[in-house]
Parts: sequence; C-alpha cells; structure tokens
Amino acid sequence: MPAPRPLDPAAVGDHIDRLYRAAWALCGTREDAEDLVQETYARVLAKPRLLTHDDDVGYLVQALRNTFRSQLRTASRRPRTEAFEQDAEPVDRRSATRPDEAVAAREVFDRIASLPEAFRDVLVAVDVAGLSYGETAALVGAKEATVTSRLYRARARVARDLAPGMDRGPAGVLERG
Amino acid sequence: MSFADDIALDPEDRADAQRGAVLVAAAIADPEARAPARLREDIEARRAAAHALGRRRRPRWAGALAGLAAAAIAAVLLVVAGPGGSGDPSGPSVAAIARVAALPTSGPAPRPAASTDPFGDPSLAVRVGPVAFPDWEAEFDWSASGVRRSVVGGRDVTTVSYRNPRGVVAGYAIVDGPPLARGAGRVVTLGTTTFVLSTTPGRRTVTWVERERTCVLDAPAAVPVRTLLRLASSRVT
Repeated sequence: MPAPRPLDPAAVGDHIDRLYRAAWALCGTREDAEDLVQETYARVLAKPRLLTHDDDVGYLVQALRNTFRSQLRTASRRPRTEAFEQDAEPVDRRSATRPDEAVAAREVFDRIASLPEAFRDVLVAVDVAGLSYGETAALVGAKEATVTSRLYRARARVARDLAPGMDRGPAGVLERG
Repeated sequence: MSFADDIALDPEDRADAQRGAVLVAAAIADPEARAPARLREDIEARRAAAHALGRRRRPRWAGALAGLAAAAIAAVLLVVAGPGGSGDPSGPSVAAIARVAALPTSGPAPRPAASTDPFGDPSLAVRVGPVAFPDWEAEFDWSASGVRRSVVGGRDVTTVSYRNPRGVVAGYAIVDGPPLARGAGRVVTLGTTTFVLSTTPGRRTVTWVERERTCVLDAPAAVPVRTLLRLASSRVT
C-alpha cells in the first residue's frame, strides 16, 4: 500500500475542468453541474484529506459522485420545483459564435445524463473524467470486465440516442442533417 | 441488475459504440465544456474561506504549534509499535473493544444531526461526550445502519454500525472516559492524530483518540486498509 498523504488544497483547482464536465454529464445541465462542483469542493476543502493513492482526480470524482447521489436522495425528499427551460437561458457570448458546436456538446451531456445509472457512471468516469478502467471498477464496485461492457453499451446508446436528425460525417463525427 | 453485461456486442453495436466514443470526445474537447470563470472564482473563494475557517477553529494554544503541525501533516509516519502509550492501563483492552464493535447492533439507524455550519463535518445524532459519530453517507457511501450500547470493563461503549452499498458492515465504537492504553499494531500518524492498525483473523481494526475518547473502527478484512484509514481520518485536523 502506498504511504498515505494529505490532499494538497492548492492543487485541487487544477482538476476543475474535468470535475465540471463530469458533473455536467451526471446532471445534464450546466447550472446543476456548477452547483454540484461547488458543493463537492466545499465538502472536500472543509478539512484535511488523507489520500492513499497517487491520483487526486480519482478521489475528487468519487467525492463528486457521492455528493451527486446525496443530492438526489435529498431532492427526492423535497417538494419538486420546475426548472427553467434551457432555451430561456441568457445568450452565452462564446456559444453564440459557434451554435452548432455548443448544441452538440449540450446534447451529448444531456444524453449521458439520461442513461441508466450503471451505464452513465462508467461512461462519466472513463470517457469524461479520464479514470482508468481499474479506478472506475473500484469507484462503481464492479469488475473491470463489467466496466468494459457497460462502457461500450453506454457509448452505443449515446450514439443511437443522438442519431435522429444527424448523419455521420466523413470523419465519423455526427453532423446535423 | 437487469442489464445483460456479459452479452457480446454485435458489429452494429460496436460501430455505435465507436461513434459514441467520438461524440463524447468531441463534446469534452468543446471549449464550452470548460468550467466557467465564475465557478473557478467561486472555488478559489471557497478554498480561501475553508483555510481561514480552519485557522479560526484552532485553539489559541495551537498557534505556537502551527508551524510544527503544518510540518507534521505533510509527514506521514509508518512504524510498527507494541502496546503502550499514555492511556489508562486499568481500562479494557482495545482488542476487547474491537470484539464488541464487531457484534451486530440492535438499535435503529441513527439519524443525521442538525448542523448550521456548511463547512462542518456531517455527524449523526449520537455522541459520546464531545465526540459525535460521523455521517459517512454523502462522502463515502457508508450509511449508518444501527446502534448498540455496551459496558466493557466498567466503561460505557457506544457502537454505530455502517453499511456500504455492497452490504459490508463496519463497527465504529467510542469508549467513554479517559483514553485506553494503545494496542499493538502499525502506527500511522497524520497531523496530530495517531492511528494504530491491527489485524486479527478475518478482521481489521484501526484505533485512535479523538477529543480524549478512544475510537475503534472494526471491519472485515475484505475492507482495504486504505478505506479503513480514509474513514478513520475523515475528521483529522
């Protein structure tokens, strides 16, 4: 077992993009993703943390996933409120210059978020957060072979869900028809 | 679960999987998928606030030791030690407490304690003196599943059992009264807290002292040492 070491608070901000993308893929909306990342960092930074492996990202993704599941449990006990429609968001200056790309990214994350939990968590861990199959297996409590199987199926479902109205371009990238 | 994980993918599924991988890769490479500036600023503010809060929480006498503590938290020591320490030699042994911690609990699962501090450690509504049992559900996915009160060697011992999603149960016992004599085992020091790791056939135990109370976390040997240490050190300061 590697020697335990404290998590360096100054370094956790280096992984914010990966955490944000993983949160977006879990929640399905950017607004909820921001809230989830904020809550995760608040918990992680609340006190010194002991890590027993070299990878900070694995620890942070685990914290993100646990916080997400905790939020789901809490939300299920509260009265439900309707969220604003995505279309009602203020125009983002960056996406306004590349509307097709922005819509594609949003749709992909939305589809990932709508996958069954077992598929979604594996795809988020491996493809979005960049964890290894071994780290993901430990994270979700499954064998690596199961992770592989679920990952392939999750990718296939995302592609099929996004297929209506889209065609495959010459480089294999889906484009609007 | 209802998914047929072991069914081989047919060529059409495989092609879809490849397309899906490309789609996901394109999405995460999109600049739109970078964290917004306001989120970065918020995280930085939280990091600074947490640091400041941690400093305010320290007792005054700790100020003079701040430099030593900062150095100590970066130095994790692994040594093997025999029984001893400055604990109460007339109290029950740590091994006896660990055996009690491994017994099934009889009371209902404790509820989370109400907290007004957003940076505070989540706790359960069960405590021994100044030490509340931690709520590990959100952070570690170990849910409190029961409680039991015992008397061992004349000391009141409260045990809360925690269950993880795989159904593995760990027992967390807190002994009322002054700290017990330290048991034999591998010593891990983080910051100002010393943890003693020991094993018996089929079990692992970690022992430490928190606010002058002896805490014993006992779990099946299937629970990795790193998991046990991570749980035990979740409130290390």
